[in-house]
Amino acid sequence: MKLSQIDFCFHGVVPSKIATCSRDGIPNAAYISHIYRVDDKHVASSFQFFNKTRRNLLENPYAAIQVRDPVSLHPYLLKVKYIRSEESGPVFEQMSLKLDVIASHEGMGGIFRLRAADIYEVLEVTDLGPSFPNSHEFESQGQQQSNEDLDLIRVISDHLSRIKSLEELLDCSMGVLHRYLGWRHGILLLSDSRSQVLVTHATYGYAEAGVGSEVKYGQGLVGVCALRRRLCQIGGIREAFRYSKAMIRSTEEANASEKIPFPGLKNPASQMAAPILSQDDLLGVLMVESDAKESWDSRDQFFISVMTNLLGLGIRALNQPESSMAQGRAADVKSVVGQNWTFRYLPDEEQMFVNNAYLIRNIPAKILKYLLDVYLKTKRTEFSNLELRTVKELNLPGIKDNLEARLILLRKRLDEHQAGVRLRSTGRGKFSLEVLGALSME
Amino acid sequence: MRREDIQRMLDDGVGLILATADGNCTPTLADAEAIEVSADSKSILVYGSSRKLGSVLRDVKSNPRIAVTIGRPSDNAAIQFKGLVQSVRGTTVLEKEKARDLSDRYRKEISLLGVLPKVVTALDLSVDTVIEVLIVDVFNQTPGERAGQSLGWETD
Repeated sequence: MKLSQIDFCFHGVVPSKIATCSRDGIPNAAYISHIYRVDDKHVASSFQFFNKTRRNLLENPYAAIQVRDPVSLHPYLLKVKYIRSEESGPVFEQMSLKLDVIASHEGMGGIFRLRAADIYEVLEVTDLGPSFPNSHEFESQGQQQSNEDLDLIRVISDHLSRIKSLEELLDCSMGVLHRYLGWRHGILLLSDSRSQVLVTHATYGYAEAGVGSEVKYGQGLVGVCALRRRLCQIGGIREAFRYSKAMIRSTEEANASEKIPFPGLKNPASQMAAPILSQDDLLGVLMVESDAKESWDSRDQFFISVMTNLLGLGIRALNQPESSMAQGRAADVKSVVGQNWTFRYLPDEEQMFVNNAYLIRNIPAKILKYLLDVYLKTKRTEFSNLELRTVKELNLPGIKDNLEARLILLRKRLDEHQAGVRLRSTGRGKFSLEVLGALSME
Repeated sequence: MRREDIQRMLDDGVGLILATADGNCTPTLADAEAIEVSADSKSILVYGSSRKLGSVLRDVKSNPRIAVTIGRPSDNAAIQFKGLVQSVRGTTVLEKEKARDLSDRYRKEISLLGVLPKVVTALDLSVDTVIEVLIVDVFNQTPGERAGQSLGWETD
């Protein structure tokens, strides 16, 4: 039996069991949080503490490991031999990543430090239960799935290739995840490298959209994904938290001081995040999570990579200076027309408030400040992307300024907040400020 | 640590691992379904199925040393008994009922963690074998830095 046939047993959902033996014949039995599959002949465990299991392995490399299917709890026994420990490399990185994510959830970085990845050669795999599909069934299922997946790639790429604006791309990509891939909860964040944060631009599957909420690089799964620029996933989250004796959600902790709550499930079972890259630049992160699915398989990983590759190309193409801000959906303005709106900008924090409620921060806040200043002084409402690029106070980088994405975020926040002004596209690289009430700036 | 401390964990429902080694110090492990501490606290009785215990039962004929770890799934608290197998025999009717009661607590415990009801129901936790183990020492086995520390063991 190949280990890849029982890959789900290695996603860290159900704790494994390990038996070792000292040189003088005294056995030891322990639970182990996660056994990783390295390839079809090797598995790995994390070395965090110098415990009896570890001491035994150094004396006597033979061990027995029991892993279980996370859904059926069907058990398999692996007879293994410890062969080496790795303090770097892909296996170490994968293990370290999971510990980093848990540590960032719990604020326990020191405790969750990975010393090494202990690698074992698998000598024998035994199915401890009677009912398990044979290898032929796996192969035929795999072939059928491959054909369907190829067709799915064509459908998704075709769908995304028709998109004409960045905003449409961000929003429609969420629909693709749901409609074609069946993922029920997703968040798309774009990178603000200046502030080393990721800003939420589009979400689906949550009660609150959370557009404008931020995650710092290195915080939670999303932040670690941005920092490492690689696909990150964590399955068995509930189990991992039980291991750390806490059930605190990282996003709640990480964003406790933020003005806009980060969207997300309160108690997810699994999360997966992939970086959106273009050339050497981190453009953002796509994160999906599930409260039912205990882990993500290689097909999920494949498709999130396809999506982020397409998003990387699309964002780069649609974020060019000459492209225009999308029209966006017309917000219901009836309730805000004629009201008074007092804006207050805090220069040190680079934050904008409206009627004492937080609105937005960083460059989008500075852009709004500029637009409102111009309007209040001259009553001018027509602007262009080119003009914004020449405004010194905005301090936009010369190239790769993500201006289009920042304007979309600002427009969404204004619409969401019904803040008395709106941004509307008036042509390629042009837009207008629609004033819906009496504005003032403190 | 005393019998009463263990009993609190057993009341919650625990999972069990048995580890043994053959004459060449090659270890193996097996699941057991229930455990109780003897009235005098000198030994534990481990209940399992001979089908699942096969390799363990073979090992203890040549090497009576055994490790028995109990773990509470809800918080991963775990304790390990190290001891010597004194006897292996079939279960009595009364012992089967007792083991069923203990394993039902385990079913409830894992149900609370989200294991599908049909899976919980389908788990074969039947027993036909009792392994009596003389307790030599008891260790903390909860994951973390203190795993492996001796907890001491008080007998009556």
